[in-house]
Parts: sequence; structure tokens; C-alpha cells
Amino acid sequence: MNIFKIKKFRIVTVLISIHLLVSVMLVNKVQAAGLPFGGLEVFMLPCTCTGGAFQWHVFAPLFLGGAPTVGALAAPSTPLTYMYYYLKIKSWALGFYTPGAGSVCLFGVTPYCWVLPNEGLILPNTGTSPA
Amino acid sequence: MSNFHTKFFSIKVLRILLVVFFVVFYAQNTHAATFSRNLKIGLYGDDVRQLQILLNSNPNTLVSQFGAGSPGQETGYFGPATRRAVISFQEMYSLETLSPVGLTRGTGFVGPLTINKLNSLQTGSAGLSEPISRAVPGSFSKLPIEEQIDIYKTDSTLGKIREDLISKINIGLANRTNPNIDFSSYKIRENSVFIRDISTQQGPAGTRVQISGNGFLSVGNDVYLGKEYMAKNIASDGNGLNITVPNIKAGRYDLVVTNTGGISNSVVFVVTDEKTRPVSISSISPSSVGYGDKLTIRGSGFSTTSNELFTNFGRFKNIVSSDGVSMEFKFEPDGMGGINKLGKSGKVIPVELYLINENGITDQASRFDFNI
Repeated sequence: MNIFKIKKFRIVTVLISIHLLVSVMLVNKVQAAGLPFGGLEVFMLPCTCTGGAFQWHVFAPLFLGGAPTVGALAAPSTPLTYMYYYLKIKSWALGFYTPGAGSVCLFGVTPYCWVLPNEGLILPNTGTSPA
Repeated sequence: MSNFHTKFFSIKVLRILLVVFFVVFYAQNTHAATFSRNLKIGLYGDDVRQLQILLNSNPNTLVSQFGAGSPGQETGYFGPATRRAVISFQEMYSLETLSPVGLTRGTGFVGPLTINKLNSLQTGSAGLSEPISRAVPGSFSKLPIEEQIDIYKTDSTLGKIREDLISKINIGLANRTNPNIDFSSYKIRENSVFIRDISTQQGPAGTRVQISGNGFLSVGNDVYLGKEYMAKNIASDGNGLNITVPNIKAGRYDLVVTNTGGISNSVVFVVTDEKTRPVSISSISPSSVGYGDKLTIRGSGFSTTSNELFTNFGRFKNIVSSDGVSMEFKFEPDGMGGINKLGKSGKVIPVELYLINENGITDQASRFDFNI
């Protein structure tokens, strides 16, 4: 009976370990590649209170995997990897983002700085269409 | 005897020639005036077969793609498939076949107006902009004014979202309070149609263009080049919609797709011809500007009145160039005026721009710095 219990415990432990290992690997993979998004840019502002290193891009529609919405993503002020480089008004962006970069974009002039709401941070492996 | 034979032979030859002349003359005129009676569903006849042959000469008015009624297998029976093809034909030439009697949709009944149009195509004397036999899949026809639509409907909706955001930002900056942006008040319908990309943005008549996007249907997509030209019922092949640029006046056109999901956003397409001067930018000065500063752009192919710059900070329209090689404009991006009033942040943001006008689009980005 005890031997059976020990075997059962070992099997459960191995299964949990495998599950944890796979989960960690998947999380790492998602974090490395980001989540996919696509959308038509309608407005942009530089995040002036955050060192100018980021920009605030509003998309309508914005596709984040479900139904289309209107929303914003922050992006680095550096050129994007693929064609047409910078995000431009009326161009379509397609790529990846990391969710949860809420306070990365502050707009205004110190001391008057406000958070511009966004869904996350666009990763450089994003491309844009011509307009 | 010899004279008799010669005379007899000459008369015989003359008779043969006359017969040949009348046969050819009759055949030509019979062909030219094929359609004389009204045609409708349920009728049989050679004229129905001629009608089907003519309809089958254009991929947009095919009676049937396969089997009975398809090209080479015209039946001479006016059935539902012929009626559908006649409707497409009437809508393609609505200005001549429907508009004069106040109709906007095809009826499938071949009456006097449709007969006139069919006969003019048979004789080739209609002075058409594009002969029907040369039409290709995805071909465009010119729409009468009453059938033209507002192709900028979605652009206007998106423009209102933009204007609303700019207004909130400016009020926030003016009052030095949080603009409190809330996106939940803006809605996008789930099946809306949007253009993501087109394979090329400029080219002469005959250029094949692939349009990719969201919300395209497997059939039933209409593509507009400006409000005047439409290619009806384009099928999506999985990668997008394929069109061929029609033989229309060179210049800038806004391209949209419509279907039951609505009207898409517009993208620019420039139809070029042998007179088109390529657009290019050779320099921008100064290389670094603040809000409201003047920039001078030099290059070639500039339009006198209709240059548009598109940048990561927005679009700047109707910039004039009196000499075609230089132009000046004030860089005042939306939403940045209020920041300028609050003070300088000391940051530099790179600006990337392209130029569009009726001559085309610059093929690479030009850059300058924006000091904020």
C-alpha cells in the first residue's frame, strides 16, 4: 500500500514538474515574441514626459486577438524592423506587442505629466503598410 | 465562238462576284443588326444565342463559367443564367441601358435600350472607352453620378475619432489637467471591411494590384477607384482582391473596397502615364525644426497645388509648389500646439515623410528632426 502511494506521489511529482517546465518555456516564448496585433493608425503623440523614447499610437480598428476595438499601444521612437519603418497616420501596422506597459507613456511638460492609456508596448519586429 | 465563250465566261464571273458581294454584304449587315426583338426569360432563338456569345465575351457578364451556356456552349435558350448575365450587362452599361428610364438596377429584360447597346457593341461603333471583348477580370466601369457613393464614409468616422482625441488632449493641456482618454466610447463593428495594404501604389493602366485587408468576402466585393470607377463583384482568393488598373486619366485616386460589411478606409493609388513626372525629394532644410517652424523641401515632380506629405505625425495636405521643384510648409502637428505653449521638453523626435501627388509617391522616406 505504501509502495503504491510512493509510486503515485512520484508520478504526480513528475507530471507537475513537466507541466511547470512546459509552462515556463511557453511563457518565455510569448515574452520573447510578444503577442500579435494589427491595426490602422489614426493618431500619434510622443511621450514627452518619458524622455521622448516612446510614442503613443492610437489604432482604429485595433485587433488584439478578439473583436476589433479602438485602442492605443506605446512604441519605441526607434524605427521598426520592416518596411516603411516608422508608424504613420493611416498606415496599417502588423506585428507584436508586450502587454502591460501602462505607465510607459507620460505626456505633457514637467510638472504637468499625464499617463496616456495603452494596451502594451510594440516590439521592434513590427511592420507597417504604405498609406 | 471564241467571243461567245469569253462573253459567257465574263457574265458568269460577274454573276458569281455579285452573289459573293451580296452574301458578304448580307452577312455583315445581319451580324451588325443581330438584335431586333425584345428578349426575355423563356425565349429560344439565334438572337438569344448571339446574345449569349456577346455576354460570354466579357468575364464580368458570363452566362455560365462551365457547361451549358459557357463560352463555346451557348444554348440559344434564355434561362435564369442568361437573365443574370443580362442584369450584369445592364448594370455595367447603366448609363445607356438603365438611367434613361430612371432605373439603377438591371432588370434582365432585353428591351430597346439594351438592344441599342448590344447592337452598338456588335458593330463596334459605340466609341466605348474599353471594348467589351478586351475587358479582363476585375475590370472597371464608369459610374453615373446617381450611382456614385461617399467613398470617404469610414475615413470620416476615423477622422472624428482622431479629432475627438485631439480636442481632449488640447483641452487637457490648456487646463493643465489629465485629458482622461477613454477608448470605450468608440465602437468598431465586428464585420467591418478594412484595407491593410496594396501591392503597389502607382502604375499605368494594366497594372495588376493585389489588395489585402480585413472583412473581405469570398464574393461580392466592389472596388472603387475614386468615386467614379468601380469594379463590381470581385472575389477574394484568400490572399486578397486582384484588380487591373483601368485605362483612365492619369492622376491620384483614392481606392476603397465595399461589401455588406460597409465601406473600407481609403488608400492612395496613382495612375501614371507617359507624361507623368516621377516624384522625388532631394533635400529638406533645416534638418531640425520646432513646432510651427518652416521647412523647405526640394526635389522634382511636385504638384502646383496638391502635394500631400504623410508622416508619423500626421498628414499635411494641399501644399503648393509654384515651380514644381520646391515647396515650403509649416510643421504644426496636431496635438503638439498645446505642448509648445506649456514649454519645451528638450526632446528630439525623428520625423519620416513621404510625398504624394498626382504624379506618384516618393519611393523612399525623407527625414528631419522635431525638437519638442
